[in-house]
Amino acid sequence: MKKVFLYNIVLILLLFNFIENAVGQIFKETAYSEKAYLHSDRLIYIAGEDLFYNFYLMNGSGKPDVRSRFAYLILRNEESRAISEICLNLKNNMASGSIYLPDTLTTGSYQIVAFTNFMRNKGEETFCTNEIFIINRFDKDLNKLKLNGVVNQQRTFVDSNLIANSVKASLLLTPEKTKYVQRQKIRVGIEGVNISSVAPISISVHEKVPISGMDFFAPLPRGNTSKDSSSFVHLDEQFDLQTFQNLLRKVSVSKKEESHCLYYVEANGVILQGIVLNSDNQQGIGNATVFLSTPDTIANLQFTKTDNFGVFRFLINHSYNGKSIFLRCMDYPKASIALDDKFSLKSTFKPSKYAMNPRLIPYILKCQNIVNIQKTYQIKLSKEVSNQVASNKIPSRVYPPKANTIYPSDYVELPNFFEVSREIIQSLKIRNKHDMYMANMLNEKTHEFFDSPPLIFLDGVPIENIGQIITLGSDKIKKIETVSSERYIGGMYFKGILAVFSKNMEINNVHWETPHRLIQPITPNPVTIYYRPGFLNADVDYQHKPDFSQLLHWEVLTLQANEKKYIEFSASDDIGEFDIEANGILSDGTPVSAKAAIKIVPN
Amino acid sequence: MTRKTIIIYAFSIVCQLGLAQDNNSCACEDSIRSLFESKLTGEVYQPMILRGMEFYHINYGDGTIILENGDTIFHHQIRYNGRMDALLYLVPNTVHEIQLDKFAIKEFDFNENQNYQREVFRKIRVKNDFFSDTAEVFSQLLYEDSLSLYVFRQYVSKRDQLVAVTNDREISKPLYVPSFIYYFQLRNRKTIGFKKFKRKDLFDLFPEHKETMKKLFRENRQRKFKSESDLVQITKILNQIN
Repeated sequence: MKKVFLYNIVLILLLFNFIENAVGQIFKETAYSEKAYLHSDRLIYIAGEDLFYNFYLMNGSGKPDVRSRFAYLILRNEESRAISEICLNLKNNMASGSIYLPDTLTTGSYQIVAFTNFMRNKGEETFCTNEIFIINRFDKDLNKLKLNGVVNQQRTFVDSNLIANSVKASLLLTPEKTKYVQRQKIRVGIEGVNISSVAPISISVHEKVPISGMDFFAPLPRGNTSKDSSSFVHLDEQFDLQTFQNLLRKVSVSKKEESHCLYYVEANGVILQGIVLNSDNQQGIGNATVFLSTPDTIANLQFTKTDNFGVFRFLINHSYNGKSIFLRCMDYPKASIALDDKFSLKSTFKPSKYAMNPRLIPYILKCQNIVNIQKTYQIKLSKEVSNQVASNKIPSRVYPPKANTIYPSDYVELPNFFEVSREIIQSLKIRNKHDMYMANMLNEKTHEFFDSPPLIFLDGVPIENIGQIITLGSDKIKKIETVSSERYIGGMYFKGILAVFSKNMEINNVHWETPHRLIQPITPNPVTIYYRPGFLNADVDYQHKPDFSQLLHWEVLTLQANEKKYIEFSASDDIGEFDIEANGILSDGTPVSAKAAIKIVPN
Repeated sequence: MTRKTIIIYAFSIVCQLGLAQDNNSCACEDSIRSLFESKLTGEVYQPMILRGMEFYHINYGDGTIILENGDTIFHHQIRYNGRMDALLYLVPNTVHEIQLDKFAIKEFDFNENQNYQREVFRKIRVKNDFFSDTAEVFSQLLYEDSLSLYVFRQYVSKRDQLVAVTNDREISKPLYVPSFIYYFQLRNRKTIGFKKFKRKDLFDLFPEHKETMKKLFRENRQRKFKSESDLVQITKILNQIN
């Protein structure tokens, strides 16, 4: 009887192991994921123009909950070399703006890659990619060009599965007229058909390309000619990236077993991620303390401990925008700090293979001429609307604002910090033993000197020891702040604090003994909008300038169910046929699109 | 099938399904919360031997701290020192007490007191006869509305009292006693402080509403002006005056 029971139990365990896997798979699939969408204003650009985009982030399972508030855009060329790297700050899961396409770009295919930090967990194949075509302004002999280019035939969004399901909901574009004269006001109605939820819609009005879709270019036979180029690597960071990627690969295998993500959701700020490496064996060092601070008029400090794999992460909030960051590992002098580069892609861009269609050449030549004219008259279509996101966050202050402050300029000039401490800082004692300087702070409560050195800051950044500033004379010091009590900072204790602020950022001249890095953190790009001066904006100067803008309008708007909106813009001096295109994504993930045509004729 | 078999089957199913779910849930959110939680700062607190009382709560209790930068820190052992107007934090698994930096704290809550009620302390700016200038103090929120009521749970030295005589020298030490100050906070964040409250004192605070107050007290049968709960009731009544 007992044997029968045992057999039964074993059988049940096996059966439910199978169920566990199945259920686990279901949970995995319904687990939180993110999906990025990107819409650009056009497909063909001339170098020197602005590319307008709208980025939209959705929950992969179609739920409204989207956690990431930061996203990344990379514009890269056929060699997979990054031309532009942008961090976006999402508002209502969306970010729109523009990328300036430098004049020096060579003619060819380019790829825009859009993703969030969290999406990196599932690999680069989940990133949103769009292929565009950029022509250099000075490439006139277009017949000779063998182009590797372009372009998605369907100009909506990348997710082809969703496109197939988009027949139910749609958009309707209704221009008041089909024919307008140069610089005339144009009004177009837009409404949703069977749209039941809020939809961000991108609207682009641009000169019609004479040939549509894939017909732009004649296909070339596919060969193995595409370069197997590695992803773009900054030379000075090559070591970092290689080691970091190798290590992260190992970590990601282990982490998957623990059901952890390697790349976290960035909800409250950009996450700075790195690894502390043992320089001898290139293995990650666990439980190492990493300090982060920024040169500032306030002594500031964040710190964290590395995990078992040597990985550390910091949340970089808006208070660090535009500031350089010091990273330092305290405990291991022989370690090195490697940083994760979010813009480093492993996959290469394999552009579509097409040759130039001769019918397109006159159009491209016209575009080049127009951009030349626009450049001459300095007509720019993008305008910055806000510099940075306002924030109430301040760098992590390590002591109260009312610290004991000393201004050396109030005293006679002293040649070095040894003399400064002896003459004007009563609460600090510096001793010189075999050319090693040791500092101790007075404990104001016991009136005895602490037995270990204080935490010392120079220009807001913690330094290793008093010896690093011993040569500073009073003429180089702006002010000195002291805290004569035992400070507690998130689990660490410091026997007093000495903060020295120099007149000329002496922190840049400090010689370091422990591993450190000075970096520029990724900060969200300023928000730009499409702005074309015109009679709608009552710009007097504009009346006297030629304006051959081929992009007449770019706007992102939201449509409610059964709502009709109107967009207004003006025609330019450019004549010809223009396309009005609207593309969007409903909150349930359904893509919607519409197209209408207008004609601009001479006055 | 016996009952035993059924129980084993059921137990196995529950265990296995439980495991299946755990294996696939992501622990990132907890990691993020703990990893990027703001760090508390302060200085090591060195207790004083004194006579009387200095703590509104004698023992540490589970509390939530809201920082000036907007971050919230949950489930920390805290207690309020009314002598120093400081929040003390007990470092987990140690005996270290930290006097947290006042500048960094916006509010702290004791999740449950002896009466199973949440107590909220906020940093408010006050100016009255008791301070020469404006000052920020941690005050307990008793009632919140257009007219809010706070109490500053301060403990002050009453007078030096003789505690011993050594070598013909008298040793006196101060005795610390509660000296709570109540504050009405108006809609514009201005505060009106008072230590004692009688009907007459209230009328003096808001002379323009004297008649209305009299009427409302009469209608609400508010005759007592003694305890804190009476003052809370009075504040509720005063909120009826626009």
